[in-house]
Amino acid sequence: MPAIEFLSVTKRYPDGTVAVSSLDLAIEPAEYVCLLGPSGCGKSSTLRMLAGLEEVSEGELRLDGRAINGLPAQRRDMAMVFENYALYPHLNVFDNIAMPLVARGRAASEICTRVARVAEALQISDLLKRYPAQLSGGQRQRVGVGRAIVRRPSTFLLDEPFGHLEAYLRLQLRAEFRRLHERLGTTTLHITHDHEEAAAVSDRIAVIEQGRLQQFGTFLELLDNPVNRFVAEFIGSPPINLLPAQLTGSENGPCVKVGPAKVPLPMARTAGLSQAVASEQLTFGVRPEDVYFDTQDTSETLFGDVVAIEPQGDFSLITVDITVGTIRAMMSSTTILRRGQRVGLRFDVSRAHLFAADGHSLLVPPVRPAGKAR
Amino acid sequence: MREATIPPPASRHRSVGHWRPLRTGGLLAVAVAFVGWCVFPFYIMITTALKTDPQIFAWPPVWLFHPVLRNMQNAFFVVGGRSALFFLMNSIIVTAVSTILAVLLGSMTAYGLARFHFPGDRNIAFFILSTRFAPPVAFVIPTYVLVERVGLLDTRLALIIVYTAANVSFVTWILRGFFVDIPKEIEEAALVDGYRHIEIFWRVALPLIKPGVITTGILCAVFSWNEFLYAMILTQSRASTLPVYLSQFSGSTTLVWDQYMAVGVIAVLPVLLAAWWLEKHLVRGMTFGAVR
Amino acid sequence: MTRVYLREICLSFGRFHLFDGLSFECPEHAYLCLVGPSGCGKTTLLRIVAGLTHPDSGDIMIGGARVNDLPPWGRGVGLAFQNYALYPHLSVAENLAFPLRARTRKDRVRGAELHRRVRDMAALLQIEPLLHRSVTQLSGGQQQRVALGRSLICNPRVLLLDEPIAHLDVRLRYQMRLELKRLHQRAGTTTIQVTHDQQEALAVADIVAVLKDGQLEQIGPPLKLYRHPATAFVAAFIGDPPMSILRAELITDDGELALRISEAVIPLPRKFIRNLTGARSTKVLLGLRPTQVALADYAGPHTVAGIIYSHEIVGRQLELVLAIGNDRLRYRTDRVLRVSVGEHVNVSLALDNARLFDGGTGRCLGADDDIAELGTVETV
Repeated sequence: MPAIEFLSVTKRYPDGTVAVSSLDLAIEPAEYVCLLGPSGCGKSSTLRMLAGLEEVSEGELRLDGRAINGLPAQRRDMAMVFENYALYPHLNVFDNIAMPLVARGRAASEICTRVARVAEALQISDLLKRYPAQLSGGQRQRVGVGRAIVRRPSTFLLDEPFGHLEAYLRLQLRAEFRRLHERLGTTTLHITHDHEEAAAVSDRIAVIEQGRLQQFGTFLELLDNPVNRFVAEFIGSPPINLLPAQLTGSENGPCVKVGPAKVPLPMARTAGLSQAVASEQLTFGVRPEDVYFDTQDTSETLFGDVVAIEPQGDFSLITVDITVGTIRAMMSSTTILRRGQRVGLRFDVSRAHLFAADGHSLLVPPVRPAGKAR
Repeated sequence: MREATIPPPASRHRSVGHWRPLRTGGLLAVAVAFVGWCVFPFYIMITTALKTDPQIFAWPPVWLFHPVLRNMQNAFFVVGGRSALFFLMNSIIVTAVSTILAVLLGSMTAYGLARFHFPGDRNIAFFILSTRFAPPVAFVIPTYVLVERVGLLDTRLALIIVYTAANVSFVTWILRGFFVDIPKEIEEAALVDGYRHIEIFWRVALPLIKPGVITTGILCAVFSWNEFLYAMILTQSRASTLPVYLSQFSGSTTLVWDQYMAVGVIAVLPVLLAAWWLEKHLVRGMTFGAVR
Repeated sequence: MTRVYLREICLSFGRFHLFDGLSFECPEHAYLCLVGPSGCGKTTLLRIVAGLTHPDSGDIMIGGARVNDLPPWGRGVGLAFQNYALYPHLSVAENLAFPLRARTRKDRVRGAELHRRVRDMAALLQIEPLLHRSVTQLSGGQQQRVALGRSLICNPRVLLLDEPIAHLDVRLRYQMRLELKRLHQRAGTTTIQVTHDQQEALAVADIVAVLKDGQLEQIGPPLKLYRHPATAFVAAFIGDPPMSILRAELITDDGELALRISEAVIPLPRKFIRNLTGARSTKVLLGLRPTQVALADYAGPHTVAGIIYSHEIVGRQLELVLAIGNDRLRYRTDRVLRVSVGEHVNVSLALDNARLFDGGTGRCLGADDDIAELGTVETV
């Protein structure tokens, strides 16, 4: 039985805006799910409905099978971690963490042991006497998390918990959250606009745009098999290359015409392609890591000039200007390229995507190796 | 498979609890009574100013009547002696000049205290605030002596100086808070763009706190307009303001109610307008947020 | 001449010394990125160049002239703030025009000329349709362009950027990186950019300067910092993937040099011997890339025991963070593995291309031609 279920949940605000539209989502017990989407897409409203801070306009919200639409927030046994920590500034770290237990009238000795254990798990044991104003952003966030954990709730709700932290702090805390989740096994719902963060911490990701669920699956599923253009664009760093294309045919089967090049499509993936799309303006999507350099001048090679070379470490990101747009490709940083140099590009079509004019994906998903990484 | 469900709330919409007529009606009655109590004096004043003598003293009171403008005209243009128009002009001049001066001087002081840190700046700021702690009446006699020695008794200039001095501390204290809220980066950007501090004050900082300036200005104007004690003491006939003129009505043996109320309306109308406009600006201007 | 040169900068806040004789240089027309963790002083350094913060001592030279006593507008710099700091009461066009109207400018422009320059700048940054809008109605990306335009419109000698793309979403960031580079290529303005994102620094900069606690760790071209980090901090901070740093002790094992890493002893390839002549103690730091790490089925001469600390997906790869003693080692693989936190594993290390750092100072132990210089300082 799913731990959390959204059944056609809709949220409509008094001024008419529909923040969430008919959301259907089922989260399994002990699962870590990320709600991913750009700002204003409705993920915050979804979380707040689950927490009980907002009313559900339509649909049903279920916790362990029970409908909880009208249940007040404090009776839902959930703990929330906020983007701006929301610590009590007049209490020290110990009191901040102990607050939920104190509010429930626990014995002092029990409070002490539980707070100590939580502090140790989050590595803030030496900060217990300090006040929030004396802590750094990362430390404050840990206190916020500690306050949520100490209650041992059945569900964690995280509202952009890393929003205000620096890049490397985010990397550090992501790993810690994941570890904490493995240890505690609490069902967690985490909202963010950063897909790398979602990939790092979660079991499954729900991509939301304009209040609608676009796709729900593991990161690799979203990466390799996006159902539409929005998901393909949103997931993946560096972002996917999108080029205008048209369906065309050749002796070897269906092809896509991208600029002057004709890129053949693998037969196995064209099963769902109907003739209706033949005349439409389509979008061809290929990820930078699936773009290769090719010196041969074949009908499938696209030529262009190197516009930028961005070293990243082991590899560099090369931006090439082709007539119909720009393409980013990844290349080992040992290869020497010059700006303005003319290069030829080829694509790994087994992993490429084709999107219809309305955005939905047209090709059969690529074959993935068996088993899951997590 | 039916699971046990928690009973849904009474209404699918906002859960305000059960609607109880008695409770709502009672609250409404209290609210109406309170508003009525506040508004009633204004009602009496306005209607009295527009009634004829017999109507004013009629009992039971006359609720519906044909308004008569005679009282208002008399108040403005009475023959012999000064009319309300004269005192109205005094009030306007004193209020306008003292407000403008107070806002000008106060805003510059506030900016200096907000942005520049020098030894003793916090002490100076507190001192400025502390001038408002004591009751004004405590300084009446020293002020009178000062003004008399300088030969400014019964002049508008004296009132302007006194009101400006009183208002400057208020303006400084309030606007300092507004200036502190401006993100420092905006002014630093102006520095890099090529502006000196005084230019930044005029072109960047002051425009950004426009709602604060307007609000403070209106409050200063209302204070100056209504001020009675010092106007009474420091003026006699030439420079008296409307509150002083009004007080003369109640000192005589006969109370000329109709004219009294007419002048009252003239005295109160600008303040009412200010209050109405202030509310509009308060709501609109306070949503200025830093550009992020 | 638009070279920026800071010499012997000292700055303290009360008892806290931020800079203690820091010197660094940005050559003419170069695009330099200052990177480092928060608190390292990079923004303060930028503000010192701009003239918004004054050092206790030291010289600030722009184009060969000492500018310490000049106000910000007299230095010929343009500054784009992290939070954009646009004038909220002005429209986009007025924001862009504001610097040009300043009375202190010798090249003050007015009227038609002013409008032309505003329009040209808006066209360059592709914000022409927004010219008459109030800045408070713009999105983050649009505001950032206006801020950039404002800093560029007076043709500054030196362009200073404070985390210009930190608040943009991922896709916009990649786009803006190219834009910044394009602007630099077009005008050739000496540019100093501050960022906490080392990926960004590597991507855009001609020269990267890594700062930590007010000290310059290393300064040089991006790939040089990546391939030849001068200190352990730079090795662990820069690049994707960055190096993992393990603490180790130099010992002799049967006459051969070896490293003791958390109770395991791994022989050290002979080529490292000449690097160690400068070593002052036996404590060293070992820097390894994930490619030099592998999971072994059994313990062996080149393996060390570790525990799985965490695992996450990075791109298409699985990244495992392994706990070796109290240190963390990063391992990446394309394979699909079933792992759980706390599992004991054997980790095999390939030391051939590893990097050794002094255990005390963190400086790289290596042959002279291998070590990157710290802060090239030319005599002025």
